[in-house]
Amino acid sequence: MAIYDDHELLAFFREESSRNHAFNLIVRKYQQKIYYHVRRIVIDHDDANDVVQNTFIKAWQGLDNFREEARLFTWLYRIATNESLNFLKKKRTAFFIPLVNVEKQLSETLESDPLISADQLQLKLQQAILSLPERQRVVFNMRYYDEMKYEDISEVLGVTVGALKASYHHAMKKVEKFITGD
Amino acid sequence: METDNDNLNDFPQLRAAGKKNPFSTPESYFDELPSVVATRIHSNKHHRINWIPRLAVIAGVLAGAVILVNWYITREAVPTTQTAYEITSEHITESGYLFEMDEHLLVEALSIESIENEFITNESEELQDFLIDNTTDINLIINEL
Repeated sequence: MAIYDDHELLAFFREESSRNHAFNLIVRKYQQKIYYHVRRIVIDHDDANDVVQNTFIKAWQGLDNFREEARLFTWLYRIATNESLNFLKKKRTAFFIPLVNVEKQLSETLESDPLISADQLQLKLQQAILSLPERQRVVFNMRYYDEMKYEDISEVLGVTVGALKASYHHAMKKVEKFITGD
Repeated sequence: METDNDNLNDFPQLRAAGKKNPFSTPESYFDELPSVVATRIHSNKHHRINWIPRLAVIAGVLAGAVILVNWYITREAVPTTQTAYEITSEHITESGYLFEMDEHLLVEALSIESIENEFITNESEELQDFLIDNTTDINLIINEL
């Protein structure tokens, strides 16, 4: 498969004859990053699968209006993040579940899901991450696992770099404290 | 990569846990996902096309409703005017203006009006009958002309 940069892919997408093929290449290029970003937020594979599909469908619908003011991958991350947080919000409102119980459910999924393989320490780390407030959790994941630059995270979340640095530092302190059991 | 602000040396447990991804997917999940997404996109497209005739029907029904409402409001406007007229008549009657008026003047005005109306509406033959029935003096008519 030929490797195209985002600018070339978007140019193909704008041509009617290569539109479908170009979008297929975009999905192939970003599906894994988007999937794991979503999976870290919603934890369950089936839920992540639904959210990822919806993310790409929304991207297809909005790509005509995408003017490359942002980069394609930060734009996709933004859609994926909003879709994931909306999914959790709907889950809470649909079943009248309080915030704490949703996190508890997600934590139980961590222990029982056969598609999660983690040793005790990694499991504890995942539970610590789940104890963070939602937005802070997203910041932590993007910085810690995806190793994204603060500038890119800022583009995704619309938060200043300074605020993100502070948020990440607080998150690391909370996670460390959770794991040590203080 | 920026590491100044997130030096893991200050967080030994976090460093020990590492960055290993604990999540996995069913086999060949990523091979199939692009075609699953494409199928959903195209089924959504067809679904949208089916909406066009439905929207046309809805627009037609709405236009009909607007015309009906407009007709109803226009029809309602006549009784409203009549009501206003009735209120005015009642007001005049109750106010006692009519009792202060000379009734001879009223009778004279009404008779002139009725004669004028008959002149306006009658045909020429009826006009002749009227003049004969009232034994009108031919000299008077000539003088009036």
